[in-house]
Amino acid sequence: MDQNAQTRSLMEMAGRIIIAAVYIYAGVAKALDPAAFADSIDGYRLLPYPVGAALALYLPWLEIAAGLGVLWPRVRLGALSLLFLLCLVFGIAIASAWIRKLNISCGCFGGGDVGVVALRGSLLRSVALTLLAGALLWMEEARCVGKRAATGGTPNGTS
Amino acid sequence: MTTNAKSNILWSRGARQAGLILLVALVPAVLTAWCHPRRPAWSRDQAVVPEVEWEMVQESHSPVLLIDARNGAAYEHDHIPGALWLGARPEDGGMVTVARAWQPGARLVVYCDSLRCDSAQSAARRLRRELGLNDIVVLKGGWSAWIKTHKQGR
Amino acid sequence: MEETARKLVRVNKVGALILVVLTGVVACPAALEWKTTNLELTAQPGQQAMSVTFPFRNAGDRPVRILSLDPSCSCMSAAPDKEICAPGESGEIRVELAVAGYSGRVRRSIAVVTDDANGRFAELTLTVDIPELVVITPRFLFWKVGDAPEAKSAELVVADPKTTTFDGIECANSHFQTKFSVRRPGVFRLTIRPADTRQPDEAMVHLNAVVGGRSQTYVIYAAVK
Repeated sequence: MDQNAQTRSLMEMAGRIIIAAVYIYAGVAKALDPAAFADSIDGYRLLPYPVGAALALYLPWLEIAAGLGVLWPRVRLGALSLLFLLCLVFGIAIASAWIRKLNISCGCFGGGDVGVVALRGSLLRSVALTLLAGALLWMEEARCVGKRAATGGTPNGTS
Repeated sequence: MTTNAKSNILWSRGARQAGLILLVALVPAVLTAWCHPRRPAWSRDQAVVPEVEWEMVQESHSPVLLIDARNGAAYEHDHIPGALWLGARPEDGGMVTVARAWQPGARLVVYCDSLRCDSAQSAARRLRRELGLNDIVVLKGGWSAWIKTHKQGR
Repeated sequence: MEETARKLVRVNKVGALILVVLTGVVACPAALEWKTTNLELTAQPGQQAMSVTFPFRNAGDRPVRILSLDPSCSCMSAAPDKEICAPGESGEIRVELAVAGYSGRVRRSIAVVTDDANGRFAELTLTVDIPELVVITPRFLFWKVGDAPEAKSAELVVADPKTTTFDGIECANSHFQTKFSVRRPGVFRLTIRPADTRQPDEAMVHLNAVVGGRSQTYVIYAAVK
């Protein structure tokens, strides 16, 4: 039993590190060139340009903050929730671009290959990240609930 | 404590934490909007047209329409094979020349002399607005960059 | 103790040498002094080309030779009025730049290389605002073969409604119907509709106008592709 719990705990930590690293890297790559990111967002043809420009300024920092938040127990629950939502939204956007056969690149890590084939790859990656974020979120929620039961209900985010 | 109550507290804690992260991210975002050297324009007309390397142009899955934004003498002397001269009809800034040659699904690639020249950028922005087409890019380094990679053998 | 003192003296000597060299570089006056290296201009509507000058003066004590002028694009040419400038003499760089066919705010520059001992070069920049008195968006209307032959419009925004009037529309291809209407003061709409989209076709729609007392014709291109 102990062995299983330990393995689970290690895998959870690995998962957190992976998703945090991916999002921090993605956020930094996009924060370096917000103009290019605004162009990428515009390529999806889902939002008016000014809205895309505002997102291009904000999203990279949100990704960095949420990525770092995953590594800090006090805000981990909120960070994982945000990352899960971001993954879902990005996945839907990429899927819509793929369906409409838009000749664009994902823009997920700033620049990248253009075209339907590249988008398919990005979509698969996005699905994988969504599943990872969802799993980590579920495990975190379970742990929070478990802790509440153990400590008798005082709000405490430390693990 | 009931499951419902537990769930509610969980949600509210998660929401609080998420809210904190959302606020924290706002600070560098505002700073970026204020002073980042590569901050985006607020309207598409003023947005910089993306610049790409020749390799990316060649790897393009869609047909490419090359547009030369230099002066007539430079074009006559030599140009990228297949490129159209933007100045053929000065009365409309090349708009009709490009529109006639364009086919649905084609990507426009505009170039001028070199990295220092911004005629390709301003021509590309104008074409983007006048033609209502979005798949327009500028060739990074322009003619100078192309000729460096293509005529080394001669 | 003596070892340290010797080291200190050596460091000080090197430091003093660096300081002297730096002072020399900074204090030596630039041989060519420019009245300005940055010009902001506004083109007149309908202007084909512009001529400007960048005056300079040789403030050094040696003659300066202008080795080359390197404009940033082939849309302009630059020439000095003299190749060698004696000490105390003045000169100028004459620049011709094409503005026809360009619009909005364009930035051009010229790198001036001289035989100045310090090897510096000057960068002369020109920022030109080329106004468009009538802005037409878009100027290209198209239908794919097989699309519904519905009407599509271009919007015309006039910068100065008082001095701009539209005379008429000419369209040589009768397969395209045109309609011109006023949306509100200074904003007009040109609507074009193809008779059908069964095969590729094209039309150049000429819009005649009088802008600021001058006749102008604007072309809108419609095509079925």
